[in-house]
This record gives sequence, C-alpha cells and structure tokens, in this order.
Amino acid sequence: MVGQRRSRVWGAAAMLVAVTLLGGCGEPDEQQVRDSVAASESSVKDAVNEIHEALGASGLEFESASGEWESCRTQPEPGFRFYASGPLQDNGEDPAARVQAATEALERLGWSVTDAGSEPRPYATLEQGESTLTVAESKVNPGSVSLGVRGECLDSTQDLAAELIGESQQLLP
Amino acid sequence: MSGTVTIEVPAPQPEIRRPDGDPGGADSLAQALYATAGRYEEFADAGEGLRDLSGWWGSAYTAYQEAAGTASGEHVSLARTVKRVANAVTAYADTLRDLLRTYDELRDRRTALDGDRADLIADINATTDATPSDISALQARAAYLAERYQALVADHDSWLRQVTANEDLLRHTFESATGLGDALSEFGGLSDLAQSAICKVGSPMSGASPEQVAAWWEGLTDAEREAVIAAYPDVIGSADGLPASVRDDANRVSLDGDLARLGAKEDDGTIDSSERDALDNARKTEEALADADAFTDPITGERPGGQLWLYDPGAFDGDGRVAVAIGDLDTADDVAVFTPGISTDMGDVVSYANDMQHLYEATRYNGDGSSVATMFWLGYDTPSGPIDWATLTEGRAEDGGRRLADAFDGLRASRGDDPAHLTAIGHSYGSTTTSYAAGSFDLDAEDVVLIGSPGAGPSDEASDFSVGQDHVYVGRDSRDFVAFLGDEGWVGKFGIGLGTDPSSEDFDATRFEAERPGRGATPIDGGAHSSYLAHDSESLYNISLIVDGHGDQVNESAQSYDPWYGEPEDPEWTRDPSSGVPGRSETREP
Amino acid sequence: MSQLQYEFGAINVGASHWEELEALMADAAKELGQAPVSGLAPGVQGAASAFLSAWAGFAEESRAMANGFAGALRAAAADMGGTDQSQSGQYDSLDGRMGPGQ
Repeated sequence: MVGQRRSRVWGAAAMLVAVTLLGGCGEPDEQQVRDSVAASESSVKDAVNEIHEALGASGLEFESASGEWESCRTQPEPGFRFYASGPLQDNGEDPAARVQAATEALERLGWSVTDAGSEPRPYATLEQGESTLTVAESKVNPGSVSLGVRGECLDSTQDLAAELIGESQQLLP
Repeated sequence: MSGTVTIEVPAPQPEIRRPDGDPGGADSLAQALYATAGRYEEFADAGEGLRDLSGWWGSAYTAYQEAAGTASGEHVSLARTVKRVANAVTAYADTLRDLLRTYDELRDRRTALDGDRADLIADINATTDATPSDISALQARAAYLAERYQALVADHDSWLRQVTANEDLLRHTFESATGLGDALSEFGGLSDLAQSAICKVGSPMSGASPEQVAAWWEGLTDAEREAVIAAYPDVIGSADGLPASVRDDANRVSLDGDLARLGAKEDDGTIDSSERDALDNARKTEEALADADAFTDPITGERPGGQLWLYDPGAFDGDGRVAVAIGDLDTADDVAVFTPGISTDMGDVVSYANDMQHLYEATRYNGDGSSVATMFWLGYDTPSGPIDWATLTEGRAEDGGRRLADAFDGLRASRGDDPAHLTAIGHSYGSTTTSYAAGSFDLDAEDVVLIGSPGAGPSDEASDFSVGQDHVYVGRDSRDFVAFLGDEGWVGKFGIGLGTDPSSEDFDATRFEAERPGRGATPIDGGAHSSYLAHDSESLYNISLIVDGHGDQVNESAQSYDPWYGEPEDPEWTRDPSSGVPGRSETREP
Repeated sequence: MSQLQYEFGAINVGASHWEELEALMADAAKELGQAPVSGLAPGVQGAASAFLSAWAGFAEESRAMANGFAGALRAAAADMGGTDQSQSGQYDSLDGRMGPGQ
C-alpha cells in the first residue's frame, strides 16, 4: 500500500502546485509587462539587424524581414513572444549549402546549434540567450531558404494581447 | 459564294444600376438607434429602482409607485422595439455591402461581354468572301455570346430582387414600430415576414433538432432568410444546423449592436459593472474577429476570413459563450474545434484566436493541400479555477460534453452531403469535456486530440470513445503538472483528478511528442500546461497532422505507465525535445 | 441626522435621479430628431423619417414623464418638511403611461 499512499501524496502535492500556479498569484503588473515586452521586441530586432549584417558579409542576403507578436501559452497567464522572419535571397547555391553557410555565420555571431540535418530538408536550429532560431529550406517553396527568430515567451495580460496581436511590422529593409 | 448572310449579334444587356443607399450612413443611423435603446433601458432600470423611496407613504406614494412601475415596464418594451429596429438597420447595411460587391462583379461581367461583342462585330465586318465554316464559326460565337448575356440577365434579375427585398424588409420594420401601440407591443419592430418564417416547422425557436433546423432554412426564401437574421440575430446566431456563414451574419449584427448600445451607455455615463464586462467582452470579440478576418493563408496568400460561430456575452453570469473560426466552416475539407480549459472566459478570445491561427497555418504548411478551418469554441461553463469546487468534480465537463456533442451535430447537419473531416481538440479541463462528449454523448467527429489532460472523464480506455481507439491522440508535456491530476493505474480517483490519465498505457491512446526545449527540471513549470499550440512546437506539429487527416503520421512517444510498486513514470521526461525542426516541430516557413 | 431629515434626503435623491433621466431622454429626443436617413435607399427614407419623428415624440413624452416624477418628489419632500400641511396637488396628474392618457 506504500505506492498508493505515495500517489495520494503526490496527487495532493500536484493540486497544491496547481492551486499556486493556476489560482492566479495575481496578474502581472502592467508596467512591468510593458517594459519586458518592449525589451524583448527590441532585442529580437537587434538580433535581426546583426544577422542581416553577418549574413551579408558571408554573401547571403537577408534583406527583408517582418515581425509580429504571437501567443505562446495560454495559462496561467497568457504568454506572448516576438517572432521575426524573412527569406534568404537565392544566390545560386543549393539550399543545403546556404543553410550551412548561414549556420556558420550565425555561430560566429554567438548562436549555438541545437540541431541540424538534411531530412526531410536542410535545416538548423540555434539558440542564444532566451531566443531560438530556425533556418531551413521551405516546404511550400522548395529551393528557397528562410530564417526565423523566436524571442522569449513572456507573461502578459489579455488586455495587452488585444494591443499586441495582429500588428505586423516591417523590420528589413 | 454570293448573297448576304445575316448573323444575329445579341443586344447588349442588361442595364445595371448601382443600388441606392450607403452602408456607412446606415450604420450611423443604427448607432443612434442603439444609443436610444440604451437610454430606454436605463430609464426602465432606474425607474424600477426608484419605485421604493423610504420616508414617503400614503395614497400619493402609492400613486407614484404605480406610475413609476408602469413607466418602467413600458420602457422595457420600447427599448426592445427600438433595438430590433437598430438590428434591422445593421442587417440592411451588411446586406447592402454584399449587394454592392455583387454589383461590381455584374458590371465587370457586362463590360467583358460588351468587349467580346465589339470584337465579334469587328470580325464580322472584316470578313470578306466568307466560307461556310467562317460563317458557322461566327454564328457559334454569336450564339455563345447570347447565352452569356442571358445568364447575366438572370443573375442580375435575382440580384435586383435581393436589392428590393432588402429595402422592403427595412421599410416594413420601420412601419412595424412607428405607432405607439406597436412600439409598446412585444412584437414591436418585428417584420411580418420574419414572424411568419420563424413560426414554420423546424424553426430554431421550436426546439427542433439540427437536421430539422437545416431543413427549415433550406425551405426559406432569400427574403425570409434576411428577415429572420435581422429580426432574431441571437436565435439565428446560435442555432445548430444552420450554415456557419448564416450564424456569422447574425452574430455580427448582435456584436455590432452590443458595441454600439453599450458604447453609448459608456458615453452617457449610465453603464453598470455587468454591462461594462459585456462591453469588454464585445470589444475583445471584435478584435479577435478582425484578426481572423485579416489573416492570410500561408500557401495561397489569400484571406480565408473569420467566422463568428457563437456570440452570447451574457451566458454563464457574464463569462459568456463565444466561438471564433478561421477559414470557412461550411466548405473546408478539414475542420478542427478546440475546447479550452479552466478559467477561460470571453476575455481570452484574442489569444485563443491567435492559437487557432497557428493551428490553421501549421495544418496548411505541413498538409496535403486540403482546405482548413479551425475554431476556438467556448460554449460551456468553465470552472473558474482549481480551487473552484466545479473543477474538482466533473459536472461542468459533463454538461460541456453534451453541449460540445450538440455543436458537432450542428456542424454535421449544416454540411449535409458535403461532410468535413472533423477533429475535436480538448485542452486541460476542456479535454475532460471532450472526453465526455466522445465517451458519453457519441461525439460525431473523426479524430479526438486530448492535450494537457487531467483525466478522461467517464472513459477508462480510448476504445470507449465514439471515434474508436485508433482515432484518439494524446499530447502530454512531461512537465505538465495538470496531467498529474489524472488517475493512474489502480490508485483510483479519491476525489482528485478527473478520470484516467489518457497518456497512460491503461488508456492506450496514441501519444505524440509534445515536449519543449527549455522545459524545467520539475513539474513546477507553468508553461508546460498550455504551450501545446505554440508555433514551432512538437505538439502543434503533430496536432496539425491529425487535423489534416494524417494522424497515422504523427511522431509517437511512449505512453506513461504506473508500476504497481511506485509512482507513475513518464519516459518522455528524459527525451531531448526539438523546436522548429522540419518533420518534428516545424509548423511554418521560418 | 434625524429620521425625518434622512427621509427627505432619500426623496430628494430620488428626484435628482429622475432629473438625470429627464436629461437622458431629452438627449434621446434630440438625437432621434437629428438622426441621418440619407444612408438609406429613397424608398425607405420616408418610413424611416416617420419612425424617427414618432420616436422623437415618444422620447419627449418620456422626458416630460421624468420631469413630472421629479417635480412630484420635490413637492412631496417640501410638503413633509413644511409646516403647511396642504398637499401640493401635483400627485393628481401623475401618470406613468405613455400616450394620450398622459
């Protein structure tokens, strides 16, 4: 019966955790949320500019990019992150070579590779700080390679959600 | 060859006149009428509240009380009548917008036909020494052109009837609310056409089944259809069995009405706190719908549009019912309905509509080309939190399960002979609700997905579900503590948890990969419970395959198990998760 | 405050509420009188204008009704406060009904 007792305790502990986390330990302070939103957006935009320069220097043109806020979790509080993406211009090389070259340039910038491969199509995923990045050949436009940066998933409020969601910004050029 | 051959070239027709009226101007009139309705409501409420005044007594007081009571009652009727007229003006404006779009299309067709006619005439005039085959070719062109002009005439006639019907309906509605007797009547502001249509057999006001309601709608004329949308938008907007586009039309009338009426009360300073909540819900719904309407398909670049399938902000003491879809529920090949969990209310609609966008995008990006519609459905009364008694018991889930099953019956009935591939996705307490729908109420779906589930309600095994064991899929982040509330093995519920853990071997559903990089070391990781629809996640990738009808291709993970000798164990705890990896967790073009 | 004064207060507060409602319905009457029908097709404008004109009238009746109630309450408070016990006679014409009966 020891296993049963342990499971009951574990169940009760889980409930306690649920109460603490889902019971709403107070909504985040609005000003704090706005500050962290602004900081994260600006950090992703800085990353996009750095990437634009670094890739340009390696002969890979990352000339146009757009960014927007997206939902990344819904409970206990809604969470949002800033996502920026854009295509790498076709420089005549095959997608695998371009993904490879981009990966190397990104590593020199301080990103570290978390995964890379060529199946089902050439790709690499990288991270730096709280941000993650994917560079890969597109499934729907074979032959083209794109890059996307995901910022940190931040706690927010539903009111702020209504302000942030649905606004796409042009980041490059 | 000698002699003259006459080729009959059809006359250009028809004359297409732009319909009179300006939708924006009509909306301004509606705005004024909604504001009026708000004032009458305020008079009625305040009047009622002012009947009892302490410190006064005697026959004069009694006379006052009676008068104030009568006034209050009459103002309730007046408010209702003028609101109906306001709805009719809104519906008129919405219909006029559609008619103007059709007008442009008809004019374009006329222009194209006239161009072809001019070309034909030029070719006829230019032909000298015509051979028999030249002549029959020209005659064939002329005949084809005549057919196309006839088709345009027929379409124009039908459109013109709609233009006239739209004007007639509004005129009748004004007439039905102008006399004082009508204004005070319970039928004030209701056109005769609407009243007779809503009394026909199978009407949604008669408690008919979704199939009967679908048949009722089929049997109405276009004019009757417009009339009932304008007169009974709340009934039409929530009637299971009606096409989604019809519900959407009606719900947008209701939404515009609430925004205008409550907004006017806010401006007047007469808004109370529950009205303020309703106005907030309406504004968030408007925002979510605007986002859905603006969304572009990742493959075609076109806008599939949003649909407001359910809008009932006063339900459940102001928590509200709402359902917003991206894509066309009436025509999409693959349709997914997502049911959320604890503490969700209408205020959350913007972020959940964004999640539906992710699901749509992922299903199209990784899909086989089939068309898609994804809907967030908040049609049941979610418990307010884990310490709410309603959470610890399954009552709300059972009631919700029945409602969800009814909603699916409605979706089926409205599609008739063109069924969609339907997937029900339930998250958290919503997964228990979905389990009730599939386990106890014969949910009419093809596939069921449970994510972050605290328990599968009444079912001990996936094979208990209406969709069959092979069509039950489960996603559970190993750090998702809510999933620990599920019963495991022979421990039993003991009042904690909401049924069997569906990710377990005992339940035996197909478990798919649903881990996140950056997950914590313990289950105290809030994000683990509700990130299942985040872009570039393993779970969204797998869910999108299921929605697309390819659940057999998900990346499976081992089920969790509960050995008799100790605590439940989850093999996913130690697997290295991925994010944004093609074929595992990539849900969009980077 | 004595009980009596408190009661006069409640009646006067009631009267103020009725005065607010009077202002609200005056706004309604005005807005209905000015509401634009030009966005409607010509064939509908006639019915719309007749409707608006009728309802501007109804709103004016409601305004007058609220005014009547406010006046009656003020008079009641005055009657109870004054040493002259004669009724002001305003109650006789109090009527909460819309229409000609008013």
